[in-house]
Amino acid sequence: MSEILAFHGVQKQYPDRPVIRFPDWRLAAGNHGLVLGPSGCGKSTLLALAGGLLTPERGTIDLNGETISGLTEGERDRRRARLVGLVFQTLHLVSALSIANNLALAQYTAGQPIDRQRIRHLLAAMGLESMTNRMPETLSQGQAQRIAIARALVTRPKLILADEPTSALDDASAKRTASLLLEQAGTCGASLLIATHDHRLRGIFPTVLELEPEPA
Amino acid sequence: MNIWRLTLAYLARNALGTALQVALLALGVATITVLLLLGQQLDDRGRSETRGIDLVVGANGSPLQIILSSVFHVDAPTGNIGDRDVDWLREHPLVAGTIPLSMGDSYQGFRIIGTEHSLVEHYAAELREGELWEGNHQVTIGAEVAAATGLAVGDTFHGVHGIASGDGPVRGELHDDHDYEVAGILERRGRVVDRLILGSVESVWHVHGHLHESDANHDHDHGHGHDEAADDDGKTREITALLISYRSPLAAVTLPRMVNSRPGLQAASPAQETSRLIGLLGVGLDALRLFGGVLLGAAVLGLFVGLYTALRQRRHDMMLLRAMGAPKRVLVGQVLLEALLISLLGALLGLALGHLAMELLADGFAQARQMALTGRLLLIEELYLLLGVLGIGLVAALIPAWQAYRIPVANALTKR
Ligand SMILES: Nc1ncnc2c1ncn2[C@@H]1O[C@H](COP(=O)(O)OP(=O)(O)OP(=O)(O)O)[C@@H](O)[C@H]1O
Ligand SMILES: [Mg+2]
Repeated sequence: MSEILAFHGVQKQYPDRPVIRFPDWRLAAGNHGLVLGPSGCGKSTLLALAGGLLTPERGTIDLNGETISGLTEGERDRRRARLVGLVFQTLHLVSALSIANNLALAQYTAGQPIDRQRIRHLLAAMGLESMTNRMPETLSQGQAQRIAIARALVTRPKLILADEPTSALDDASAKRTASLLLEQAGTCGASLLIATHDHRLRGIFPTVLELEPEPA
Repeated sequence: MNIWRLTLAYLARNALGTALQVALLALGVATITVLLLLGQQLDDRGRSETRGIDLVVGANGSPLQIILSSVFHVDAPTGNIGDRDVDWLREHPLVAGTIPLSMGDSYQGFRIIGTEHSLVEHYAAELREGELWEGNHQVTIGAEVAAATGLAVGDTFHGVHGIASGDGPVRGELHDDHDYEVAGILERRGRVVDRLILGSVESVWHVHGHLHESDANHDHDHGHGHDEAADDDGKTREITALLISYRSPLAAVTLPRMVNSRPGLQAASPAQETSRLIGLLGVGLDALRLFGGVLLGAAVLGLFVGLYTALRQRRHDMMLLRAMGAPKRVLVGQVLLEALLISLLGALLGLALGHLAMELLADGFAQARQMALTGRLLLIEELYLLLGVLGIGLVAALIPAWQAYRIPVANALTKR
């Protein structure tokens, strides 16, 4: 089975910060993974590296069988647009655009034709069709997050990277969001990688990567 | 969905700010447009109305007034000149051609000019209908006169004593005894001739009932105006002014001085007086130009501040766009597009406003009407103005666009 993501000897250093060393690991295509660890250990950094938002100082990162760690920023942008869907903890939607147009914007940035039917179907499948024409500021945080998940999925990515998608939610919502993510990733055949310090999610995922606490 | 739609969404959401930026730009552009239109037309009128006339001789008074009254037909004449002087000028070896002008009456605000057919040739005006006037009862009217009064060939009307020199028609004594008959209508020339009623010099004398043989020895006071002439039962054939073309350029040196040395006569050079007039207006135009420039500067500053603050508000949106894979050039393009759209809207609205203002100006003032000013005219300079505004709009967007370029995509995950 091919790998969607593989890390080899990856090291990242922010200016004037200690080097963050990531363990070697790989995620098989279609499998889901969980990155756990205490605050500051580098979970968000790992997702940024995986999505090509950052490049490592050392080591290689393979995305969908291609080494992206040596590519230029523009090339990484294109890979990300095509292959990756991102869900953030707080940064969800473009405020000037309606929900449907936020999803359409994701299709545009991915270089895909705008497919209104796909947008309608996806929102309906996620039970969000009533929000189609609403503006982001009229949604609750939890609703906005579910729309953000729909936005990450609308381009049929191969890898969904979610940073702390459940940390701010109560137990019931956290469970619902996690299962929504798993379910939707399953229907479009994408791998799901969630970074969190939320141990409530531990039982649900087959692959768990535990990062060491940051060296003092 | 694309950057157009995204940009329009941003503009719509900040409708008030957008409207303000557009309005400010439009005011600056409108001011400059009016200046362009006015300056160009004054220059143009000055040039075209004075072409072919080397000198105008009128009664003692301000040379500028003589030019304004006899060439542009906006001011009151300075008075009359007698036929001895006229004959002297007509036979002068330095003079190639003369056209007499005699005025004093009007019809519905349009001047009735007693003259010769050579004036029509001078204007290169073609007949649209009918004939040139013959005898003392016929007139040929300009296109604008025909349009405004509804006079047609064959119609008759009575003149009113007094001429329109400023705002609106003069209500004077009606000459019931003397009918004018419209013999013809001239083609529209876009010049003052459109607003004139042309007849023979004698017809104007006839109206006033003082066609007397000139008394060569009569020491007549040449300086007085037409009004007096009408009352004192004038003893001499008088005209208001004589348009003169020189036989040789040499005449420009000597003829004006010779004219001015004769009592009661004043020579005025159309070229000189027009450039003096434009020079006088120039101060006002410069002040207006400065005002337009200041407005435009303020508008560009407003555009810059608007984009700059908008970008701070949209940092998160931009990070999100980058995280979704949008390349930097899309972000930069969006900012530039926004600046261009605002500039384009402002410039187009400003040009439209400028033309409207010019049209209102041309319509609202009798002097402007008399000089056939209009807002319905496009200048190549307006295209340059449009491009210039787009250019400075882009310049205003440079720093915000650079900010957009610099937004770090990696922060999308970690920053709130
Ligand atoms: N832009 C940055 N500049 C400098 N240091 C950074 C930057 N981003 C992260 N770091 C540092 O790198 C380390 C890892 O940060 P990261 O955000 O990946 O942690 P995390 O595991 O996601 O933490 P949390 O659970 O709090 O989100 C931290 O020590 C952090 O201070
Ligand atoms: Mg984090």
